[in-house]
Amino acid sequence: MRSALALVLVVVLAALMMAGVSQLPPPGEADQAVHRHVAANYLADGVEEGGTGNRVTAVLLDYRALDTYGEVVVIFAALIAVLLVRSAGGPRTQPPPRRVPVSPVVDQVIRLMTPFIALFALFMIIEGHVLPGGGFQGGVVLGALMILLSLALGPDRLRGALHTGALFWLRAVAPLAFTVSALAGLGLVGWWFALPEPGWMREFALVLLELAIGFGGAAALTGFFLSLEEDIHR
Amino acid sequence: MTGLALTAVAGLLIVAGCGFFLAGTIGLLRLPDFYCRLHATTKCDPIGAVLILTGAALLSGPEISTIRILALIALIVITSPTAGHALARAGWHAGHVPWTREPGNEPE
Repeated sequence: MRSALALVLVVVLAALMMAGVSQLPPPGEADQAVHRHVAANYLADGVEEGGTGNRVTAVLLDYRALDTYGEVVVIFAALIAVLLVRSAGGPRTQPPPRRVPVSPVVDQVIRLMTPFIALFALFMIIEGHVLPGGGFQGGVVLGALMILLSLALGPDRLRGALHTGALFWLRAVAPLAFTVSALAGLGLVGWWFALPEPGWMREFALVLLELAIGFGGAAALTGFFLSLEEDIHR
Repeated sequence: MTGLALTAVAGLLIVAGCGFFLAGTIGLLRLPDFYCRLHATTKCDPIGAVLILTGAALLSGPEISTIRILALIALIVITSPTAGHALARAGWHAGHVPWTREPGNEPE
């Protein structure tokens, strides 16, 4: 019975998808609606206006900066929601359970790989405005490294480091940086999210934005993990 | 080695690597418990992927991308067995009992 239902569902969904796919324009046809609107301008002026040779970055951080602003705010809001739900449960009531010690093999390999992973994450963030990659991807790699380290060293060392001083504000750095970028564009150039004028300044602003996205994303990811990890042990 | 022999060796390495992936995947689907499935799947990356990458390195010749492939091989050889080791250790400490043929010890 269940497999018959599943078969009907698969057939119906497949028919819907085939109907949609059959209506797609042939690939590469230049006079379709999506190619006639703004895409030509992006291709023609994207390098000059966006401040980078990578037009994807120009769309992401300049033409559609408001969308990207929304994305970093969503990540930040998700972190706030997790922290709120966590704190509603009150402080930890039971002592933390006994941890299985990390095996020496895993410990050594994590120590060996950490500098390479960190370097790769930084490379993705800093070169992200020129090459495929960028703040979001590099931030996820960096956040995964933080989770790995908290598994190897125990979460309390990482928790202590992340709750003190300037690192506390890292979680909000991406929305803050985009707010500054929006206001600076309005004040200096005349419209929201406009990048400053000389080319090298544009590139510098892009690197700063990518760094903010990357470190903010990594801090948010680490925050998720630490909150949920604490929750499991209550 | 002539070009043809090199291509043949590289092709054999790649096919052998695919064979390890096939065996590992069948093992993941068919073997009875956590440890057996882990045993099968940990053959995919360290052996299968390394064989395929070695074949690719032979095919790409003395290029800068060959160094990248060698770095990838080093990465897989270091990290993948470690991941398998950590998984098996976690399973053991979490109280998973290895499957045997004795009655009353049915596969999960």
